[in-house]
Amino acid sequence: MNKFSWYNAKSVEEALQEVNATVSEALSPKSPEAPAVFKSGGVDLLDLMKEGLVKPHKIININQIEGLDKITYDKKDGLRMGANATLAQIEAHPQIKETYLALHQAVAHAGTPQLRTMASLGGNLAQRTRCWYFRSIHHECLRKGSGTCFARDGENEYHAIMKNGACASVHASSVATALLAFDARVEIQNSKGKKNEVNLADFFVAPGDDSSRENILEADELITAVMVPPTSSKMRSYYMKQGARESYDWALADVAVVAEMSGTTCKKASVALGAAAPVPLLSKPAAQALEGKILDEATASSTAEAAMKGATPLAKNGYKVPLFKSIIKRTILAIA
Amino acid sequence: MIQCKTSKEIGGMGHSMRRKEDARFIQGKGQYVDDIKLPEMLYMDIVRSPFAYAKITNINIEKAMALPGVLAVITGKDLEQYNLHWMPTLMSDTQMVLPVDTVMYQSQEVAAVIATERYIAADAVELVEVEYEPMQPVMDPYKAMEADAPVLRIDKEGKTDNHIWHWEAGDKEATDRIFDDAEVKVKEQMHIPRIHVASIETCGCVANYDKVNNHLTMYMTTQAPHAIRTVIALVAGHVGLTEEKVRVISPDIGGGFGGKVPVYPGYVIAIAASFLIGKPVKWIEDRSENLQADSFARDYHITAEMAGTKDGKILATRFKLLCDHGYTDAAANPSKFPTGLFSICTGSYDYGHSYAEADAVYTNKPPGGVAYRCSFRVTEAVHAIERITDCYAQEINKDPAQLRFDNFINKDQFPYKSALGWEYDSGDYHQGLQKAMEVVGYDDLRKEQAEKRARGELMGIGISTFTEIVGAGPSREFDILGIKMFDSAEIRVHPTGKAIARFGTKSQGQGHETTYAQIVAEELGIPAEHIQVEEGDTDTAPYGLGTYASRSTPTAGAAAAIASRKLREKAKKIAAYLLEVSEEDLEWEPGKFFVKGAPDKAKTIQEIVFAAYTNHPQGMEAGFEATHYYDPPNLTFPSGAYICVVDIDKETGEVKVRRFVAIDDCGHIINPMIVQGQVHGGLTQGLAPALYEELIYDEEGNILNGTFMDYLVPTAVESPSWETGHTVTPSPHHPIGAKGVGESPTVGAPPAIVNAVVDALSHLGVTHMEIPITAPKVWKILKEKGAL
Repeated sequence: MNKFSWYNAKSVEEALQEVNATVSEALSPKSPEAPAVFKSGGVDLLDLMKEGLVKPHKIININQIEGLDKITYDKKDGLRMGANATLAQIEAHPQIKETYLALHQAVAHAGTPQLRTMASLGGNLAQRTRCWYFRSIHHECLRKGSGTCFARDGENEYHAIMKNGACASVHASSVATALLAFDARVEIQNSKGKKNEVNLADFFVAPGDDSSRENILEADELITAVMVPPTSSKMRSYYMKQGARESYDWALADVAVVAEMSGTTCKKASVALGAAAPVPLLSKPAAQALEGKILDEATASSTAEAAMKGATPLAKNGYKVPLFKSIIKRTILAIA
Repeated sequence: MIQCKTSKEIGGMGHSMRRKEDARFIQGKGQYVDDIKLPEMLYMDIVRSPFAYAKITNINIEKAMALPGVLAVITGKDLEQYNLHWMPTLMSDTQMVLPVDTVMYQSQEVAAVIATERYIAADAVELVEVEYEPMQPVMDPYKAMEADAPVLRIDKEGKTDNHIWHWEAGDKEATDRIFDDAEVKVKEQMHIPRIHVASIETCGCVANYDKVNNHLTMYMTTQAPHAIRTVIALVAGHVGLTEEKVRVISPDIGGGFGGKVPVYPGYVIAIAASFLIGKPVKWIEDRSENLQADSFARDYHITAEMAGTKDGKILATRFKLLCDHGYTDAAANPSKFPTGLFSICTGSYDYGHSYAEADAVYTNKPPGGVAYRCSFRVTEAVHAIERITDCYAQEINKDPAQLRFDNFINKDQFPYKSALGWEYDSGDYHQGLQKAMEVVGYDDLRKEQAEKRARGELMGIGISTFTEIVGAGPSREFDILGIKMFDSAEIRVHPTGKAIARFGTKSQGQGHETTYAQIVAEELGIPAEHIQVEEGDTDTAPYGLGTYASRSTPTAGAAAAIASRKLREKAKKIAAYLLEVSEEDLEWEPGKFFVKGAPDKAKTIQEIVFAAYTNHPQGMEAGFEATHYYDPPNLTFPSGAYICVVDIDKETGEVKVRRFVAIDDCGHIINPMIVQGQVHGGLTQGLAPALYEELIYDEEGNILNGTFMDYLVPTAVESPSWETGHTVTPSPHHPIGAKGVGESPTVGAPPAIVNAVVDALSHLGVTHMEIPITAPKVWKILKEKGAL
């Protein structure tokens, strides 16, 4: 790990004046000579630094910015979570558990209690992939600018089974899976003080579009909050995750389903898949397969089939297709 | 219920006394090597190779040396001047300390930086410029054995292949004949993958060379401090560090599991640095270095075969091994046993013929072969025999429990000579399995399985009835680098009747401070609470070979008992003198001698000891001390009957261990609570390779899971609620009838789990699964067998 200087930012504005690179830029050939990057919980940044992938000259600690960890909820406006809110805070929030169960479940299954105490929501969404070729300093992979994805023909049992033509990594955030199903939006502030809101689905960037990044953030931008629309009493949600190890592990497959019910019939649904593709995915075919149907075994199965239609597993991860089908089915049946 | 001979106050054998050492551990007051800070101490960090096989064309240290605070950058060429660039391994192979021109595995030490601060050392590592010319590594041991494979160890004069050694045991011809004529033969290929001990504390040391007195104090995380002192003297004696000038101190250790027996290059470099600079040098590995460069275990490719009759009588076994040691044979086996004690592979069964052979091979993996909580290669042996026994049962469609009952060595056959020459000391295998079956409810589980199978659900029951071989060992056969594998105890009882006892072993979590005190308490009646146990300082402790291979209780524990008995003999003489009777008139009960028929006429051990300093009989040597070096007449053979119940989720491929019953027989138990703790930990370390752990390398020699994020160690969440119990079959040759237990669970658990998984899938025609059994492997086999 290299030597770096430390800067405690007191405000978003101040932080945005100090930064000159996103973490993705800092580990790419495009990195400024003396990269200055944000750190909130520091969970992923510290890993990247220990792995020798990122060598920031300056770390701008945004963890002390007042109010940036605030969580507010009201029935009319929904949920607003500051970017510095920790996963532990979200997990412990009673109204999130009551109203956005899938989000609570996704957060509660992430990492370990120690990690959740440190990890911030913004950092979780902006974290880099856990692909072991990307994380190895010895592999100059596509995402690091070489033009080669080693996973596609290599050890790919944990890798993507959809949209994996360019790069087979999967996005690591399981929180994103749940937020995506809830149609969350991300608030981003830039150095000119302008605030933008984007759909979470549009926040992530597929490697086919730009392999050097996993989201749209520019160097002078900071996630300030994540907003989740209000729910109705007719909405139900559920999240499930399967990992190689039950605790303290990333997902092999994770699924969040949000359904608006009319009696036993699903009127409107969204189905999000994590660890399926390089970005968290909203499955439209799955949502369509649910809508207008009674949530039973047959619907669950046909939804699972629809979600996995067109999957392109690699040599060693074919098992993830039936695994996803099974998790999707179980998640739907848990709602029913 | 264990019968105790002593009162709770004395706390001898059989009492679940709380661990004396825990007071400091649970309060964070343990003293580990990284807690040691000496005046003027320097810090070392290591430059490591990114390549698995490469020529070093240049090392430029200028930029690193220019960094303020950097005192030295040490390369292989520097060490070469002192002939310190090579060292012997404990298996009499050779290993680079630092390379002069070639690196042989990824993460190999290339250079070392010495700086005034840890952070500066780390920064300077990044500034050392090394130019490499990469070569194609050899990662597959089978390819390494091919005739046209590139020869890796060209440093060895005349070496024309990658073969390290050949070993064999048993009567090949006779065994082959049995196989030729046998009604039933089963054969299975199995790989025991490369795994890592992953102790929470990594390796490290503080080397403190005192120029004025020409003396080295080496604080290090070692399981065998005395052996290390001797090795240091052998390696560095020519530069003046003869053995009396070396003191090794092994402070508290955060887990060893065999990984802290070998000498790693970092230790030698730290000594060299301290020797050259004249100041203390600290080297502590980080987690990635530890996972990527040190402490590898297993990596055996095994072909196991069993021959038997149609009705289930085992007649013979055959085993063929290919042992991947990586760059050098860095195992820590007894010298005459290159495959360790693999020849225990005949198991708990009574049959006449077996033959085992092994070939070891060099590859471009890090040096491997430490005995990870498995005595020496017993995990590999037990996996082979317990798996192939199940294959046989499956082949002839016989219940695996019944097959075992029909083939067990009977308790009246002990001492039993195995087909590969071991003399098993004692055992009651029938009783163990019977008990395990009762606890788990075997018959009901079989009924449940049949019902579930009819419904298409997957449930399996797996058995492992293993025999361990521990307590190395008798001097006629066992040595490491020529030093015989006895162990020692020295007991000094102070005038007030309190004692200090020192040993040649070194606890790394085993609880020696408690269990050794209990052995002395049992023999002398001095309360265990008042017996202070000390280990790990070569200047004070008697010489011993250390703690690994479940040898502490069988060797040093025996030494404690015999040293105590020597003292009791002396006590008897003093008591006779004090009571003015003859020795024959005295009887002993824990804590005192009394006159036969007159129990009021008695002298307590405390009174006797006081007299030894104040009023000892004329002509008798004063004081109350004894030392014993115990050379065991035989090894001990603990055993166990484990039954595992698994449920397999057909859709996700996930294997869930629903129940795990472990009935261990380690002879007489010193402290039931500590034994239970040992078993819990060992079972979890058995679960690990069965379901989770394997180090994965790509063809270029890159490790793909060299951090705890990708190398999956099971946590409490993944561990089932272990159900433990015991039977007691004392070792007839051990002074207190104990056998050792530390490694039984690690050895016995993996085949029980695999047997359960295969049992769940057996109706589909599955006969074997390679470990770790991951969900993708289960899914793949279900798909192949048309079950999805």
